[in-house]
Amino acid sequence: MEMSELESKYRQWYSKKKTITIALFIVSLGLSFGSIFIVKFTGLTPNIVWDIIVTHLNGGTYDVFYYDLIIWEYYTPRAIMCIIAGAGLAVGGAMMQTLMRNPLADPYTTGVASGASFGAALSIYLGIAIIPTGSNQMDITINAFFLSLIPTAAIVAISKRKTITPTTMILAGIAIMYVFRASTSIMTLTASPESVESLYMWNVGTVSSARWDNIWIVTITVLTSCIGLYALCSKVTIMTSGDRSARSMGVNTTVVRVACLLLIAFQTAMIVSFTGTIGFMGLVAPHVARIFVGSNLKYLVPASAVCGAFILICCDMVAKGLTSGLPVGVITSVIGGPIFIILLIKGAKKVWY
Amino acid sequence: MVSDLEMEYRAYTFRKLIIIFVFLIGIFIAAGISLSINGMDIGFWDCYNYVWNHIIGTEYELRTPEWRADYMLWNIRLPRIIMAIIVGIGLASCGVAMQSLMSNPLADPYTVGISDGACFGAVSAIVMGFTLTTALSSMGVVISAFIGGLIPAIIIIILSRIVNLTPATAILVGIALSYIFSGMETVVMTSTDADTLKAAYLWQIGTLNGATWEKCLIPAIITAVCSAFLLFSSKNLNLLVLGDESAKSLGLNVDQFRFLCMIVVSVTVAALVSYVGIIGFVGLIIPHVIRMIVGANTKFLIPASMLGGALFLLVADLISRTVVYPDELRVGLVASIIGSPIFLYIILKKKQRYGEVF
Repeated sequence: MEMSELESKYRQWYSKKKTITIALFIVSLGLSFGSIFIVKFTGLTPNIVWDIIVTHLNGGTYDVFYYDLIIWEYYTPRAIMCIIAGAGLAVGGAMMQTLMRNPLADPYTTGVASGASFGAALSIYLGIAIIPTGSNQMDITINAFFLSLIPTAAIVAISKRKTITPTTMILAGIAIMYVFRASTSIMTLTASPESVESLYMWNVGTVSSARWDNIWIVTITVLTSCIGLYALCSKVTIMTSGDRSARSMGVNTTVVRVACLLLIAFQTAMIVSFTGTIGFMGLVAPHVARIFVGSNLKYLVPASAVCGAFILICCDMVAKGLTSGLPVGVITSVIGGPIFIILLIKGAKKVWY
Repeated sequence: MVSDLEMEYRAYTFRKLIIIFVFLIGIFIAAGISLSINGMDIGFWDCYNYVWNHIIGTEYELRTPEWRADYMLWNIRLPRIIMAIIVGIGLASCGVAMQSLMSNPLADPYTVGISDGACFGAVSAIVMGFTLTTALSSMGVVISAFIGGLIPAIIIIILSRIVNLTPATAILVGIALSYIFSGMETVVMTSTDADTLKAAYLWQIGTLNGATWEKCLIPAIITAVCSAFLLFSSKNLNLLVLGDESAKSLGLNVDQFRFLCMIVVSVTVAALVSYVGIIGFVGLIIPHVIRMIVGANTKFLIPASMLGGALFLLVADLISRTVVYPDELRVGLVASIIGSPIFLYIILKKKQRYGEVF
């Protein structure tokens, strides 16, 4: 049977989107590999870096301990973390924006970041650990993870009510976020300046804390929940037409919404508790992706993931190469902001509505 | 003859007026209680008596108990109450205006990046060595915060004149700007020592502590102008909610009106933030709560939100002063902590679906 004109047009359009996404994916992988080579350390030439990576891939260890430590133990997980965190935050953002039908939503909309920060503050200011592990860093991470899930749990609990709309859900999220932030600030009033500083630094998003022994758990969580979200995305797309029409088309809106919220919260909490709040990524990457592929989640989710990974890896390269160790969260804001504004003005006449 | 419909409309208007009146009484009572917690056993009515006597020009003999009471109430308690009322009015009405201008229920007075700009300004001033202790240097922080707060607003206003920004895009640009400024703020913060960092961090949490008549003056004038403007343009704000196209077809010059509103709102918010820091909750949540009570007609929504904001901030300030007396919490924190549960409760109790059509 011959394809109709409309169908062939659609196929063409679809394959163009696919090509863009795949191309960007390959570029990001390449960049992330390339970012390992950006080392501000005398003696570590690209040749040696290459040697170290090859040695490790063959199962050996490089004989200069410090070189080995920096490249294999610090920079390689860091490059992977950029890809994972960028993709995870962006997918969370894309889903959240569609789910809440609001261009301002991001993975932190339900209060994940404020919960995490509160958890970190409990540990840093008061020394309270939910599961005491003996290691300070580990306590902070575990606290942050568990407390960042509380706001979402509250949202999920109220989202089952019939009178709840996406708007009220976001507003409830913001209200809970205010409570957590205020509680953190109350502790700050009496805390010592040094601990205020360390909490502040914890909050600024950074990927430099990535190591082999924490990267695997983040990777597994983010991959699993991204796959879960992708499986739900056709239903969420239907839900953009309003809850009632979605129900009449056989979508169980409550279940889909709760499942999405939980998956997003889970992966975001995992990312945040290891990297701190990398702001802006979850908001911007989906919008940039939207400029290229439109708002259908089937294309938007993969495209956002790739965009997120690409942006974060670029920002981290800037952070590593051009500055003296500024956290990547600062770079995403200060450089990503203006670029985003230019994109918005130039390309996005009908990005959202 | 008055038709049934007209009667009904009058009754409807009357109900809204009653609500507004209730808010006024609430403010009077809250202010009175706030005055009467003074550590000198001066009762509710006596406090108002002192204030009235001061206004009509009664003089007391130096260092008598009456003189001391008058001095305390007039110079220490009252400016703080007035400041709470001013800030409440300003933030809540700007919140309503912003939500209508941007046609987005998540918009608040800080949406276009004013708060982060102001923080950046204040933090840079503090890090550069201005302190909050002396009058001159505290003025330096205020001015720097004000300028910082206006920068993102000016960028947005100029951009919206050059290219045709839709409200949704304008908000996104605003968020991008606020991220840029908070990023730069982080750069400044990380470059300083721990003590300065804490001082700068605390500046951001809103407080009404240390309000004086001099400090009230500028916010009062700006807020008064802003409120008058918003009250008179409430009809136009109503039209904006219908969408730009419909508003245009009804004869409103949308671009010009939005431009004007943005200027008024930005200047007001920047001025308030630079004096009291960032008080979050009021500008976003109070308009929503009031909208649930009186409906979305801006003609009633704006005055009711103003009074509601003022009342809420007065009560929050009252609690922040008394709960750990003689120490005090900061009003921004109390506003969040008492406001959020109330707001959640209202959302959950609400019978109709709210926000389906904004």
